[in-house]
Amino acid sequence: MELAENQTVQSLVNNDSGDSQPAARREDVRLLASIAERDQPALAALYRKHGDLLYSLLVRMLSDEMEAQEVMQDTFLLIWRRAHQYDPERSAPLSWIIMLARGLALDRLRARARRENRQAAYQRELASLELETGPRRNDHDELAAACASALNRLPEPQSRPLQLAFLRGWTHEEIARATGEPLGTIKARIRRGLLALRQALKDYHA
Amino acid sequence: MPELPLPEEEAARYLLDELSPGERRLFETRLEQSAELRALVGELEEAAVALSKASPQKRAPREVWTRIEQALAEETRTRRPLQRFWAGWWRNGWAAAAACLFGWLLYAWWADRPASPASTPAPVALATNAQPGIASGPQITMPNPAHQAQAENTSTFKLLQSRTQELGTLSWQLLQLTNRIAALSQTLTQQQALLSEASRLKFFQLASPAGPVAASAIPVSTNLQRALVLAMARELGWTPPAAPASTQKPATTDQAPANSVTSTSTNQAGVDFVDLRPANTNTTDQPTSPPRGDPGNVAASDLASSSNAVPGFISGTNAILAFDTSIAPSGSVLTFWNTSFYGRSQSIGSAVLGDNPLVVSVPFSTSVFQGGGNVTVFGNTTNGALFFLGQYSTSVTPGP
Repeated sequence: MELAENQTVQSLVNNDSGDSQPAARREDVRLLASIAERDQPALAALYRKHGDLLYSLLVRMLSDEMEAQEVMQDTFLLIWRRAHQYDPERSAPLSWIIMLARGLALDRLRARARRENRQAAYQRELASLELETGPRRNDHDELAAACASALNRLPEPQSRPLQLAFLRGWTHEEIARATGEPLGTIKARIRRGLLALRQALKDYHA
Repeated sequence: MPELPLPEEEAARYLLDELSPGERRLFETRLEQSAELRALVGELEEAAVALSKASPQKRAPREVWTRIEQALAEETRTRRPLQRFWAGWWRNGWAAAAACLFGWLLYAWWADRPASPASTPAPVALATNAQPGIASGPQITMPNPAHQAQAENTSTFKLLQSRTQELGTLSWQLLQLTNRIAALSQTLTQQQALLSEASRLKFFQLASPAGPVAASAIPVSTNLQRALVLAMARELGWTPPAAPASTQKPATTDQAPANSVTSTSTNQAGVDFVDLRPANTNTTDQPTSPPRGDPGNVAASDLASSSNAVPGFISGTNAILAFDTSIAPSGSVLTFWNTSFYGRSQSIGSAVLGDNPLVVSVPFSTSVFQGGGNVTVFGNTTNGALFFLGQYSTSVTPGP
């Protein structure tokens, strides 16, 4: 297991995961480079390629389609302005874009009313984060289905803190206080959830 | 289950943007140095992508892209003129600097220009005397408020300017005075320190202020030179003091001041030494009235003066003076007076000049604040004539 993980690390360092990712990644890097050169069609191409994914993420994070559209607009304007700052050596282009969108969405979430009743807010957030279990609109996207499946397979104690932290911007301390769990336990569960998702992704590409 | 290693925890916190700014900078530094850490972060980012993809799929509405295009067009419109402006600014930097200079000059001219009649506010009395409906007297026009405000601003500015200049001048004068006081104090301290040093001798020559030749230019007789050398040797302790030879007393009361003291004379190598310092004299009378020859009563310029100077030196708090017959006739009674800084005269004592050279030691205060100031010497000849021998005073020369 350890050997396999080391191999994975090495393959990522070499930017060769042995699947179709490199081609998609190279295309994203090229588009971002063009956007940095003020190429508006490149931005349109990037929008066509990842717009739905970002919009889905934003709706899930904000639970409000109108607000998600505003943040979507802000995200692509931010990509337009900051494309020259992107460093392919530091992160994958899609990760960079997702983290930009997440940051803007978290700003919106923080601007909302303060979480006065932590326990009630926690339950409300969990309810809003329940994954759809029925037929999905875009199930033809096998990768997305695989990721959703992997997330559903995570034990609840891992899945909930992970989603609260990533999608709602709750800090580890806030989650620990709301759940009454030790901080170290929450941290460990979030790490394990992330690593499990990464493994699922790796398995899918394998 | 074993605990996750620290790098994974940090990487996850980095990914979730939970690191403080300091921690984030530190982590990014390590990230640049460690390929393994970069790979770990990359893996966690992939997990985040997977988490994003796990969200229920939604199709972005078409109008979102329309709004993005409109926002981009708007941004481009506002950015281009700005870019052109800044590019032009940099290209034409000298023109901009010249414009600033011109603006400054214009302001300086405006601030210093004389107030125009139109901008002079009307006298308040004139305005209050004006009565509506009465046409007598000069037509009173109300001052334009804008001009009035401008004139007030100008006059206030001028007043402020003049006050600032006055303050600057006063500050400069105060600084100069402070420096001068400091220099005077330093000089005084130095002179007092020099004079109070017993081993340091300061030479001088007493001469009449009305004398035709400067004291330093008057030659000193050989006998006086020898007497002075002997006096120096005694003062410095090179020769043991000789036993008292005689006690001098003024011959007549007319020849000495009433508060004269008896002085002990010793002879050494043909030179008479008289010590009028308090430890070596006994005051016989307290001063009753200023005697003849008191410099407080008789002006030195009214008296005859010696044609020769009296050489001497200051040693610590003593003044040592040498006399011989080239200065005053043999048998003359020499009286010594101390006049304080505040003009109060006090007799120190007297000594009789014989055929031998005479060296007289008198107390001399170096501090003008302790009653010292100067030593004046008068002589009374045997035939009753009074003449002025000279005066030595503590002089304070201000520093530069």
